[in-house]
Amino acid sequence: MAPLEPYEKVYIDTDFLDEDEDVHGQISCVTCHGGDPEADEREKAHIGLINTPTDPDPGKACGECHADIVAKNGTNLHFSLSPFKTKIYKRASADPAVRDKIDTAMDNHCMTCHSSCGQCHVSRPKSVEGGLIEGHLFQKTPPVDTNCTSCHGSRIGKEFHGENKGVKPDIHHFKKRMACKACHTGDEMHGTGKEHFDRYEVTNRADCEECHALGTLGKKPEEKKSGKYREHPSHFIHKDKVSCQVCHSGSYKNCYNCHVGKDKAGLTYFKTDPAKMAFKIGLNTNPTPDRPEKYVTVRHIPVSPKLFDYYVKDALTGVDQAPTWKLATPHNIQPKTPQNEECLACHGNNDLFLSANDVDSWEIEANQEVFVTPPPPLEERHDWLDKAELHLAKVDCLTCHDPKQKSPIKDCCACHSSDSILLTNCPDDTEYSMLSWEFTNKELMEDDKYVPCVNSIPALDALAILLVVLTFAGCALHGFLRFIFRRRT
Amino acid sequence: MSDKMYLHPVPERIWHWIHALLILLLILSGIQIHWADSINIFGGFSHAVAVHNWAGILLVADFLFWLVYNLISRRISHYIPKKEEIHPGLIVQARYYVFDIFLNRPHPYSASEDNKFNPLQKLVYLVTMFLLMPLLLISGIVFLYPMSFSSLITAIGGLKVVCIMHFIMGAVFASFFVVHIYLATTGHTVLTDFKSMVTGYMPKEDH
Repeated sequence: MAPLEPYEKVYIDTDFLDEDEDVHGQISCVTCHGGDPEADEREKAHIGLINTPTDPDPGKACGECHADIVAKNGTNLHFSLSPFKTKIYKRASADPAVRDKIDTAMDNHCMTCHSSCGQCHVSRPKSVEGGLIEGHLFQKTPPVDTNCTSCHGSRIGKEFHGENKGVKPDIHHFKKRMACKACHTGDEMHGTGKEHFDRYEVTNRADCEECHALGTLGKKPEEKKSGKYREHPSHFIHKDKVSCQVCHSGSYKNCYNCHVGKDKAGLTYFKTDPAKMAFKIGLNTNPTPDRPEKYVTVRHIPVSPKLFDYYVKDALTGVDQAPTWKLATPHNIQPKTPQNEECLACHGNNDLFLSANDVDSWEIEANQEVFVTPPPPLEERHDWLDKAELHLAKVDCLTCHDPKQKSPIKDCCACHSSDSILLTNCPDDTEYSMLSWEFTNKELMEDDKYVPCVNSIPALDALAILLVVLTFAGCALHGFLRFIFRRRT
Repeated sequence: MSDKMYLHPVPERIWHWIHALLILLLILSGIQIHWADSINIFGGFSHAVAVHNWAGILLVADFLFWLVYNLISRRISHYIPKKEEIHPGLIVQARYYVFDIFLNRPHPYSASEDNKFNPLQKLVYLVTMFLLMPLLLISGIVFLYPMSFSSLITAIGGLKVVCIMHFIMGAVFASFFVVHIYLATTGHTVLTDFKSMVTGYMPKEDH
C-alpha cells in the first residue's frame, strides 16, 4: 500500500458535500469534529477540535443514526482488542508492578492496532499513519487494500492474494473475485454485544458452511446455498472432526520471536525473526458447538519470553500457560491441495501434525494440548489384514472405511466373494457392452487398485470365443470336405 | 525290413499325454475361472482355482522336462526346420492341407525316425514351445505369485497386462488344442496318429 502525501491525508473531496454522493456530508463539520465555526483565526477555530470523532467513543458522531451498531461497539474486537490482553495476561507475571509495565508496553505497541468506526469507513487506520481514504467520502464497505490488508496484510492479505512464494491465491479471490466482506460481514465486524476474549468466540464470524452446504451422503442439501456444492466422501467422514482448512489450505506464514522497544528518538518499534512458511495440523484446544473439530490448522504466533524485556524483565513468567501454536484459518483456500490428494497424504504422514519436534524447548509445555500424538504406523493398525501391505497399496481406503458405515469393514468376505467377483466398489450402473475394450471392472483398475482374478474385457472375450469357435468350425468343415471327397474318390 | 518305425520313445509319449491332460484341465478350469458367474465345471470356483493352480505348476515341470529331455537327447532337432523345409516346404505342406488332402494325395513329407514332423508342424511347434508356451507359463506364474514379482508387474504395466497376456495365450492354446486333435486325424487313417502316440510306432508310408 503506497503511503499518502500529506495533503492527501486531509484532502476533502467536494463530492462529500453532494447529498447524492454521501449523506454524511449534510452533517455539519462541528457536529462530529467540534471546534468553533464562528472563529476567524485557525487556532481559535481549532479549539476543542476532535481529530477522531469516533475514537474512543463513537456515540456522539454516529450514535444518532447507527445506535444499534454503536451500542455494540465496545464488543467489537477491532475496537476492544480484548484477545490481546487476554492472551498476554494469561502468560504475564502476577506482580502488579510488572503488570503496570506490561500495560504500558501493550498500549505503546499492541494496542496501536486498534481501529474505530472512522478508521475503517473514513480514513486509513491510525496504525498505518491514517489519512482520508476517498476525500472524506464515507465508505460503507472499507476498501480491502487501504483498510483490511493495511493491518491484516503480512499474513492474511498475502495468503489471500497469493503473494507467498509457491502458494496459490485463495480460490475465492482469484476465481470468484470475492472481497473480505463477502465472508466477513458488517455484523461480524461490529461486534455481537457480548464481550469475547478470543476471535474464534465471535458467533457470527465467517463460516464456510454459510455458503458451502455439506448435505448428507448421496443426498443433496435441501437448502440451496451460494457456494459450490461438492458431494465428496471425505466431507462426510471428516465433518466435525477436521476443519475445512486442514484439507483445503496451503502453507502459510508463521511468525516468531517478537520483541518490542523504543529507538533513540523514543519511537516505538517491534521486531520479529523472519517468518517461516509451514503447514501444521494440531488439536483444537477449545472445541465449541460451532467449531467442534478435533483437528485444525495451527499457526505459530510471535510471542516470546523476552517480548517485553525493553520495559520489564521476566514479564511473561507464565509463557507456558498458553499455546504458541494457535488455531488458524489460513486464507489460501484451494479445492485441491497436497493434503486432499489421497487419504494417506495425511493419515500416516506425521510431518503434517504438530509435535514437540516442531517447537523450541520453552514451548513444549505450552503446546501440550496442541500436539498430536502420532498414531501407530498404518501397517501396524492394519496388521489384522492378510497381506496388509498389499491391501494398503492397492485397495482404496474408502472400500473398507465406507462413509456409510459407522465403523470400518473388517470382514474379508464383505469384499471377497467365493467366485472371485469383488463385491465392493463395483458400480451398479456399469454399462456392459460386448464391444467394450475396457475392463469390466475398469472403475477399480483406473485407480490402479488390486482386483483379484476378475479381469475381463468383453471385446477380448468375444475375440477369444470367436477364435476357438472358428477353429472348431474350420476343422469341422475341413473334415467334412475330406469325408465327401474321399467318398467320391 | 519292418513296415513300421519307432517314432515316439516312452518318455515322449508319457510327456505328451500328461501334457495333453494338463492343457485340457487348464483350459476347462480357466474357462470356469474367467466366467465364474456362469460356468461351473469343477463344482465350485475354489475347486477350479485349485485345479488351475496345480495343473499350471505341473505344466511348468512338464515343460521343463520336455526341454531338458529334448536338449540332452538331441531330439530337439526334430523341431528345427531345414532350409528347404521353409521354402518351399511350408507352401507345399499348406497346399496339401488346403487342396491335396481332399484328392487323397499322399503326404508331401512323410515322417521318419530322423525327421518326424512336417514343415508346418515344425514351425508351429517351434513357435508354440519356444515362444507361446513360455509366455503362457511365465504369465501364469506371475499371476499365481504377484507379490514375488511385484517389480516385474510394475515394469510391464501392472497385473492387467499379465492378465491380458495370459488370457490371450489361453485362447491360443485352446485353439491349438482343437487344431492339434483334428490334424491328428489326417494320418494314414483317422486313428493312426493316435495309436502311434500310444504305442510309439507309426506305419511307414509310401509316396
